[in-house]
Amino acid sequence: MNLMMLLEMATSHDPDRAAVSAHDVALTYLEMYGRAGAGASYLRERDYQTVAYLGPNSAAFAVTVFAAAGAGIPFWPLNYRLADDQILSLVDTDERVLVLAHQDSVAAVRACHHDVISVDQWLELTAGGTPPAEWPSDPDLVAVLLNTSGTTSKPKTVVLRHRHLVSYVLGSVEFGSADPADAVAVSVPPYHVAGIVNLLTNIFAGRRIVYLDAFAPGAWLETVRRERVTHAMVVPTMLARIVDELDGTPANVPSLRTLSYGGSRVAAATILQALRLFPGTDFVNAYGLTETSSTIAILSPEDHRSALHSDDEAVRARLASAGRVIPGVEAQIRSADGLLLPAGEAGELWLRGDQVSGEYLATESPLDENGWFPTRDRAHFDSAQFLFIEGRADDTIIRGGENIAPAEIEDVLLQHPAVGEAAVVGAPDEEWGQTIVAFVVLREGADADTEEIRSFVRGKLRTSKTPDRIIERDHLPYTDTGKLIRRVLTAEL
Amino acid sequence: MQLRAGMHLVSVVSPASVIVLRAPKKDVEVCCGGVAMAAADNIARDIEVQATGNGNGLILGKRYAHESSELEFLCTRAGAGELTVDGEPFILKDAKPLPPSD
Repeated sequence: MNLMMLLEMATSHDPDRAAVSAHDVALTYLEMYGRAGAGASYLRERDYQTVAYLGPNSAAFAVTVFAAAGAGIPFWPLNYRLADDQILSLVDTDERVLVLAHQDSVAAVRACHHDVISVDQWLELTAGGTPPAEWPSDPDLVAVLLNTSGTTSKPKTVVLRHRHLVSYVLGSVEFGSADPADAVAVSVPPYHVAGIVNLLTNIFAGRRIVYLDAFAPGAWLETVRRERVTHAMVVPTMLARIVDELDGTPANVPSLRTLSYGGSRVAAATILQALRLFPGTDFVNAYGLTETSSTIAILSPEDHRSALHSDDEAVRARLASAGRVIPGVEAQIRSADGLLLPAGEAGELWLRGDQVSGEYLATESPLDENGWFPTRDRAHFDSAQFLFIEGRADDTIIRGGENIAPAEIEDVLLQHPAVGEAAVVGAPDEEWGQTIVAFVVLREGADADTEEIRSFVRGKLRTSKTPDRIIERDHLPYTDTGKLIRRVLTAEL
Repeated sequence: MQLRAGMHLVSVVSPASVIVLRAPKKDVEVCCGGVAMAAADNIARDIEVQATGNGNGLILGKRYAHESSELEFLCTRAGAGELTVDGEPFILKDAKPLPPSD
């Protein structure tokens, strides 16, 4: 069980079909399989233990994922947007790590690490390669290492083995199910778990991948039209920027059948606008974590439509849910004392399944004795098994003994016409344990008094959930995939 | 032979091969075309366009299940020969694809 098996099967299915279109090169399935074979031989002959990739989306990235698999060593994508010194501290190791770096970063990496070649060189030396003669079949080998974004705590490195990723792919995609004319636009970066599984599931389905090397909403829309893209996946900030770019005009993307979004919470207003601007497109919301090989719950196109057209408040609320847990994954909500909680009650989400790794490099396993993984996400199920994610458990504010999810207050703040962005955190307090502090960014040209915003929240939530303080800001700190970095705000209090 | 998830089995009568997705904790004999399949550690073969169906043969990318023995395979290479376990045939599992989320 090896990722190379997925590529081999897809190549057998239709060798001359287009596999990847990117700024660097376009490859058919057979060409990609050949390059993966050549890359695997190169890595094996030089006894590399890990191959790191430092660059944007490209055909070279896709080739390297499979080349690493063929050589039986981990593929380790690095965030190329980090500062040089952060990158250098990551690759400053005695292990045999080959760094494939984008041209702009080669010199900086070489200053502290001997084994570095440019992505262009890698493309040259894998060109015209022949398919691999063999590859290791041990399902326990490490396929991918991914650094978490560390929005609440110190970043960790997640370990995903071949069995985790292959289980996810086999459980969620039908082999060869894509039409030869299908194309998926990928704009999530290669160091995000969605970038990895995207590659695997679309290759297995036989769908051409169109890589965008950097995200810009105008270029994204233009690519979807020019390449007749049928599927696309975006993170919520990208969706919000596309909606802003359209400015009320329908998107005019007749080829686009499915648009999936996920990676962090989405403002309900963004989804409602997007549904209106993409009338012919099915929407899918996917929820998952790096530690679970990405998606473990899906809000389907049908769920979106039901929520949109229902008179029932509970059904309408599902537009803000993560949908239902996919087959092959089990989920439980547990209290802090470890008790199983029924529908309607919030607690920590625990997961189990073949795609769930929950494993970190150089850290003790967080799995319990029965293999359940604590996500650290606070969540509840409704009566129809729809999963609602309330945020990170570590972000929960405990004010006067009451557990308060920041997301609930943020959602209300965002309903205020003057508030464009909102972040709610807890501040240490002698009397209450914690008090509620809201950071808000006002919409351009908007003007609002913080007392007035407080009374707006008080009108919709209990007094105990009304922010004790509201602080105005020009901007809030986010990761480059749009996750709010709360620890930066908390550190200021 | 005791099977484990992730193991590859190859046919000795045709190019067909499968990967084990689910296996019971007991010995079973899996045959292709009436002859026992062999475990293969390293997979080496040439690429050729695969037939998508040939009588009783194995179809690339399809899942085969045998409920009473809790066995499930994925065909990773097509080929002739009916798949059986202890003499009984497998059933072709229906696909229940999820909406594309990637």
